[in-house]
Amino acid sequence: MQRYSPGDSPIHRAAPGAKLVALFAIGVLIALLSSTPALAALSALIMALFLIARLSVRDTAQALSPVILVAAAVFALQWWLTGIGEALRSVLRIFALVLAASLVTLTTPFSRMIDTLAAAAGPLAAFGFNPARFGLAAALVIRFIPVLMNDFREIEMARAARGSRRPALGAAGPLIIKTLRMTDTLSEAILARGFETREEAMRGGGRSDAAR
Amino acid sequence: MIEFRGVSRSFSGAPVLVDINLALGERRIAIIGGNGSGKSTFARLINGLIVPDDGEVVVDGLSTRKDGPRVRRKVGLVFQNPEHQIVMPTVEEDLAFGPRNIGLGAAETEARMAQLLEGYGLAAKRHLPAHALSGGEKKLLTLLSVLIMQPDYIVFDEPMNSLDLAARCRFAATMDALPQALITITHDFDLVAGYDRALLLENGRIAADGPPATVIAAYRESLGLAAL
Amino acid sequence: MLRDSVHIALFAAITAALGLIPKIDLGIGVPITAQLLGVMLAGSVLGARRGFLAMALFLTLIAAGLPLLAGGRGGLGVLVGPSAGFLLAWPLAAALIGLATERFWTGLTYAKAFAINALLGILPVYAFGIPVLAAISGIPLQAALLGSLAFVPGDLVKAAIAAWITLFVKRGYPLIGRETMRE
Repeated sequence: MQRYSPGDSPIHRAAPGAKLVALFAIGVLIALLSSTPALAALSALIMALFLIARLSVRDTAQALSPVILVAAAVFALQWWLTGIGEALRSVLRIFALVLAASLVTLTTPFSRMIDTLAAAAGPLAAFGFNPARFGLAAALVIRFIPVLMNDFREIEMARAARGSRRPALGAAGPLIIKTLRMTDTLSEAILARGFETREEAMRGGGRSDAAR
Repeated sequence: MIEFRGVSRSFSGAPVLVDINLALGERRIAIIGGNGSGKSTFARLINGLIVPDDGEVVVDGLSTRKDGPRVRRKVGLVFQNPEHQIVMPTVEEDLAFGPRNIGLGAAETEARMAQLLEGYGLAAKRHLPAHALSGGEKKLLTLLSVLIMQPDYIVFDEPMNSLDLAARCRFAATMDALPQALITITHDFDLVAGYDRALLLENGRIAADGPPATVIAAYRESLGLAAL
Repeated sequence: MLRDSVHIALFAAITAALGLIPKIDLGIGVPITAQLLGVMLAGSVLGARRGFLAMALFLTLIAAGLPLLAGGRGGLGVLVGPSAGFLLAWPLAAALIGLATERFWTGLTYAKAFAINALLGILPVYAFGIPVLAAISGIPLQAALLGSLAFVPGDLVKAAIAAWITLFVKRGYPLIGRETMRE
């Protein structure tokens, strides 16, 4: 379910934190560069990184597909408003930025990225950030998306069977209530399986838990 | 041994359980009663998810009030709806959840997991997302997620509820074979007919206590139904 | 509280599920999705703090690579692309909606709920989204503004739905008003 493309290149093996810093640097660079040759060179450099990461054409296409239409619209608009030079630069900026960001996502497994983000949020511990709770919440989201969709469909079907005119719309309210009711049982189930023990351990700052 | 010593519990001012005194040591115990009789609260008092307002619940010498986490390692609880008990996206992640919480090492967790998956026929499905399992398999998964913690007691809250007939038969057989002491809350009398002891809860009190046949008869009588 | 974390996760999941409902995704500048409804619900049902965290969690998962946005989009590319501003404003929008809903909870009418969800769901999102869109794509602000206005009617529909659900939940299983009642 991820945008991650498995591999073993130097980029895959690099620390996610380092990649994020590099991405930030690239972003700054993109904002500062103002000549078409410079932007083209940067884009080529990023494409070279794609090659080093041994990513496929399909990966590249996937990375760019969300912004293709926007880029086309921007290109057309800029050409009309300012001229082809600026149009080209705008599109190059968008592509470079999106490609660089996608490179990080494509070469970093979800769990490593989450761990990095959780670690980076360390200072937020003062505000009550708890890595154990964060990891649990992330897993709960993934677990419950299909469950909620199923619940929605069931409620919708039940309403349709009773002759409701707009079964989908009317199902939204009951779904939310069902979700709220679910929360109590889920919390109990989580506690019943010892979660508070882990929370304590992680809150204490120590890594008492050897199992990963 | 699970002991209830003068246990009372209310919710929002309304009493749910009143002065319960019990020593539960039998291997198979059934809890029956109507809706609102306090069965769910009773189940949660045993593993300390709820603590009494008055009195104590003691499990093998551990007080649920003072030693909740340790009690919960001894007492597993299988909830009514597996959909609301499975917490992690995949089968193996969900099984590893409990052990990971209590700090069990990766090797030991894997050993226990492999043994349970093999033993209960789910090994081929360990990498699957939970939502790809059938209803019966989900129920089995929730049981395995409890068994992997190696509890001494297992409480079942209406275990037959979300299962179709075939799955019910299979799960009942599975429950039957468990070496742990079981406390089963149910209104499925066939399931508990062969149990060692049954308790009838009525309006928050123990209305009957003895062999299942007797207690079930007492229940039917209290409902005004002739023995069928 | 553990319950809070579960609430937060479930509403992030609802927002993700809303992205899976098939909708027309023109991709011109702003994605047309039902997902803004998730933002509104997180705020109106969970309140400001949990609503904010639900959306922050959602964005964090996107950043980590999950394809939770409508059309199966995800990853850092989406968070630095032209629509980045709209997305990054979601936690703020949820928080504002939450604050207002909490503030006006007693005596909440449909009209008030609609106003809260419409104003605080749309204004912050567009206020961030439009300038960022202009900046990243290099087009003038007016062009970005005009291009985005086409999506406001759809967002008003979402606000109408969110308001209805808020009142439905208030009658049936209110979270905001009864936080002080613990068992």
